[in-house]
Amino acid sequence: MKISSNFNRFYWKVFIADIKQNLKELRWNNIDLNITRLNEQGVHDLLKIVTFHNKSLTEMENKEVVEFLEDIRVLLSDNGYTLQIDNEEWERIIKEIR
Amino acid sequence: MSSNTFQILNAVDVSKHIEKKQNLSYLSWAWAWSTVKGLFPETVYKIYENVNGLNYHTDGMTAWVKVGVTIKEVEYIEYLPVMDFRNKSIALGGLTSMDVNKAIQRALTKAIARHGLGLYIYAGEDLPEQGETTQEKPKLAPPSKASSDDKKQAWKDFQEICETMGVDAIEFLSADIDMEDKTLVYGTVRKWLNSEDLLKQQLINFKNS
Repeated sequence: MKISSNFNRFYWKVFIADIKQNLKELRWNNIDLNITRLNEQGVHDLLKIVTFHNKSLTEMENKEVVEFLEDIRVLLSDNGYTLQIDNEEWERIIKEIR
Repeated sequence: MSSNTFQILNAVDVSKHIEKKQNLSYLSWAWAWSTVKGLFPETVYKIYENVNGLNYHTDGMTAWVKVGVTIKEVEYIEYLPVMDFRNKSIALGGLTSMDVNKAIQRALTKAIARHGLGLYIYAGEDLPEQGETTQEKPKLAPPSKASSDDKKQAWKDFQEICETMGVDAIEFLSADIDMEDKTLVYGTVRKWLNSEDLLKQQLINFKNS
């Protein structure tokens, strides 16, 4: 996927920053991860591992990026966390990627 | 993303999996292995055999095992003496296959820790064996009681050894410990100076990694 500056801003400044700042712990496959020990790049790499999307964002097809983001949202939901971003903005970003 | 491999493994909360024996903490090798494989499925380990195909190495008096763990093409090798329940090396004549097996499991867990998983529980202490009845902590002089000159001399000696082996002392230490923690740095330096041969071997590994 070609990373637009708009997506870049959304992904790093809204999505990852939100997780980094607000989520203290993440439980995945019976492994407890202390998010506060990770920098933003670490959070990004961890999310790729736990969602089984191992490619870099630029190598993913648009559809795969959408799945990646959706999988993260589900994972966060499983951990009792809802992203700060409102549904309207979420839909707009997803629509833009698609 | 090797640096993030360390960061991610170091972010794993091991607190629920620490078991206590005689005031010392240890991690189950099975849990450590399943966790590292869960996060990094491509992880492999290798038990280095000696020239005769045995799974331990010996100098004719005592024995040690050599275990390497590779994650994303970065291998950390752990050398561990085959020890008894008091953490004393077992003389070659008294060695059993069970002793070697335990040493391999402990070395595996420590090699994984070098990649970040549960590294902090190793700071300043060694893992006890399961089933032990007595355990004494290594008797190192408390760092706070060491004079400033002692510390400077220890650091100077340590740096000299590292330089001789062509490794930057700070780079070597910071791969495993928090350099901001001066007490930990001094304790680690003292530990290495007490086992200079092992230090030199680890410096070679570090240089080649």
